[in-house]
Amino acid sequence: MKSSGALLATALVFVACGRCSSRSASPTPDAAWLEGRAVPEVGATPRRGGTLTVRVGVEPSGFTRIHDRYAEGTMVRYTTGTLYETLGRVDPRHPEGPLLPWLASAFTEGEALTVTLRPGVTFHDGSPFSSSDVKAVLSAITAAQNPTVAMRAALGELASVETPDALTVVIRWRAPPTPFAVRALLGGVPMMPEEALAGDFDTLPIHRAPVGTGPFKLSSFVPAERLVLARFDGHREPAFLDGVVVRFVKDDTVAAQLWERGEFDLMTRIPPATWRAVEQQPWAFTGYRRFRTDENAYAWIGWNQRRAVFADARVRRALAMAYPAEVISRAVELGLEARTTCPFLLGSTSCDPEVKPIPFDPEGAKALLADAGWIDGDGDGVREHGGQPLAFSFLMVTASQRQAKVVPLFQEQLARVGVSLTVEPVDAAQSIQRMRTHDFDAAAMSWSSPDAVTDQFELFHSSQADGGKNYVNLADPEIDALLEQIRAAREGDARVALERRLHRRLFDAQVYLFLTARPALDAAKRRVHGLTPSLAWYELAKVWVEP
Amino acid sequence: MSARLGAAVIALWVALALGADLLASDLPIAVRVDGRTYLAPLWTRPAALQAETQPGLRRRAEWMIGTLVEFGPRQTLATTGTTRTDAPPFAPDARHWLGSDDIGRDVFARLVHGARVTLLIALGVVLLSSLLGVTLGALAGWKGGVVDLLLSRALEIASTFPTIFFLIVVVAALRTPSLTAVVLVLALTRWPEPARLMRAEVLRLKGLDFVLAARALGASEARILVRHLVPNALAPVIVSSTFAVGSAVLLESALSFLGLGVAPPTASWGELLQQAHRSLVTPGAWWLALFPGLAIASLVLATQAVGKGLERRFDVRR
Repeated sequence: MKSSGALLATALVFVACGRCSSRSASPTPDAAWLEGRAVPEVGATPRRGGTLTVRVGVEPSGFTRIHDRYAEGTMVRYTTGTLYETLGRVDPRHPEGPLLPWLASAFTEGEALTVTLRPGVTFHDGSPFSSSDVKAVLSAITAAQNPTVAMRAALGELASVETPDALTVVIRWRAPPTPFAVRALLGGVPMMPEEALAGDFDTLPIHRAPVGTGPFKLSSFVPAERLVLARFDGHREPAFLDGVVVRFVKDDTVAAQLWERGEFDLMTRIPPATWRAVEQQPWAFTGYRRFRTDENAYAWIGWNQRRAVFADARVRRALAMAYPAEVISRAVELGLEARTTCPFLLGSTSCDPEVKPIPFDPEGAKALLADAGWIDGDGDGVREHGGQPLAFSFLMVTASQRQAKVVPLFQEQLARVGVSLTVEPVDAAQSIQRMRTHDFDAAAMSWSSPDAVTDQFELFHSSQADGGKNYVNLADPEIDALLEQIRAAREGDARVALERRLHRRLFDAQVYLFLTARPALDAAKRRVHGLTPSLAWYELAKVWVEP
Repeated sequence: MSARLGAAVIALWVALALGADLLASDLPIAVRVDGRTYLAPLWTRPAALQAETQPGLRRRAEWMIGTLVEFGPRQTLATTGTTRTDAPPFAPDARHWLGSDDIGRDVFARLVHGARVTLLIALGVVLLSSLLGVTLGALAGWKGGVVDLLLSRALEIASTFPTIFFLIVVVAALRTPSLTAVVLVLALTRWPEPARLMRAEVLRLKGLDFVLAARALGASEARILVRHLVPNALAPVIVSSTFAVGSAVLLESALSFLGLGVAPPTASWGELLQQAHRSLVTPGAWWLALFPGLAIASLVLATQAVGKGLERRFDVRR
């Protein structure tokens, strides 16, 4: 008995010492890792083969980006350049500059847009890509009966699409096209085979079984579980990877645990809290590289202008003054996000540098509300004006870790200035649906784009309140006029000046409380190479893995 | 756990729930500040103290009777006056005995205030569902025939409803779930059990001699049912209801965990567990799982122990 006790004690000492020595020898992360800076890879020779397992938090409901129902921002990121390709693409080094030819070998703008297609391109099904496919895709978008309203609006009114030969497409608009329309056509329309678009558009098989020209083709799709892509060997620049497995894991905590177990080669959308938590974890910094990439994405809180309580701009400004940005930065964003007031890419010339975020100022908020006539006359802690209490509900997405923290923090400060915020818990789909139908008082959301150049028309023009994305019902003649002028303006200083005016005017109107520009926080196993972050996600065709 | 210990644990939680305001609040029990005396501001909420906190008042008050913990259940790190620069959740320390949640709210404060919500919901659900179940079960058993047939089918249909899915649908339709709404919705899913027990008991008892005697003495049907049958048939319902308190606690916690319980920022144990789930990534926040977990376990085990005790006492086989 004694000897077994001694043996146990010895074993424990060994275990303890083992832990001690491994702790003392554990490496520490360097500055680049902590900052999530992509370090250029030197001397690594790409090899073919292997599979990349990627965590994705949002499952696509379909794969046809031109269909209104499937036109999600995430889909744009994950399918462009992987399954589908477009005629032109954003230059990763100059995202605000002109598009680079991609499926096109050249495009020239004059009275018409003439696109010369790259020869020898084939679809995943082996059929050759030609001008008739471009025409078929554009016809599907412009057909009034098809649910392609968003894409149709982005392209503007096309007059004709001519195909003089198999590799030339001539596109004409009814009126001179806006730069946004040309950019949307070249950089936003995924190319599909003509045959796949024949029939009832709404029920086409291609919505669930994509056929594109991208470097990867669909292998299998198991809803709520995974999407498996295989290398398309017929691509002009075949990918290194044999395949990509996209695993849909919605819950961030579950995803983080699977990540810790090593189940993802590429972990995407890491919440700030997890990003910070793993900084102390040797498994993370020895096994993974981290990428903190600036995206063209920003978070906002919107006030529904159809609600009388938000009619006065002073009230909206006071609500912004009660937003505890510093506390939220410390507790929720963990210093990883930059405050913004601008709907354009943060730091771009389109943002007016003179516009600064409204500082947290509860006393100022109280004074402004009192000035606007909102007084707590009955002493119940909530201000009233004309018999109406300063109270509203806030759609809070139950699955959102961020909103679960931000809303109570904001609610607490609002209560202290005499504003009552009631939480309405909803799921994500319900939240979107209610925002689309303007059935909400206040809600939080974020916009993102894979392009640095964005048209704000759909978000803020009064004509886009019903059917568009002007969820907050903004109807401001000055903003409408600016949006129309921006659409008509060519690239250059004149357009920048208009965009800055738009930024200032939107800031003054405060229909959005602009929050932060969000970076993408990702991590990849050290055996994964060739990951170059960009606004349009990673170019998976360039990625390769060590055995 | 013995029935007595179980009863003691329940009594302790009831006491904590009733005294939650005195145990943890953002405002004190009494204070004299700025030349004015405020009695029970934690309940009266005077406008002059609207933006005050206990640590702030303590610094400038002539005198103050504070609560055991100086934080209310909704006070975040923005108003607790913390000087820490790191991000919450904070591990237990002298300031936050049971730690803080992920926006700096005191876990002890949320636990005791959450106990109030949990107990109110659990007891409300059990009382309401028992009342409904006893009434319908007694009617079905006593009347028999078509009434029994209809009520029994309704009971069977209600029993087959998938509880959680039903709750999710109803709570989603309610938009902002209040305490009353959650009680009503949960009660709608719990009434078949007492109804089934009451019907069976009434069916068993109504053929016995004491019922015949009451009838012979000229008692009305209603009197026989209310004064003689129901009281004699209550024992299994009481035992079952005691067990039901525990399952209502679990159900409420599950709903709050799913974000479908009482609307935030109202404290609830399930909501704390949801935060624990959010903080599971290593190194994690064990205190967010441990303390609400212990609270739920202790209350459920206590109700089970009391239920078992009552079962023995009434000699009822469930």
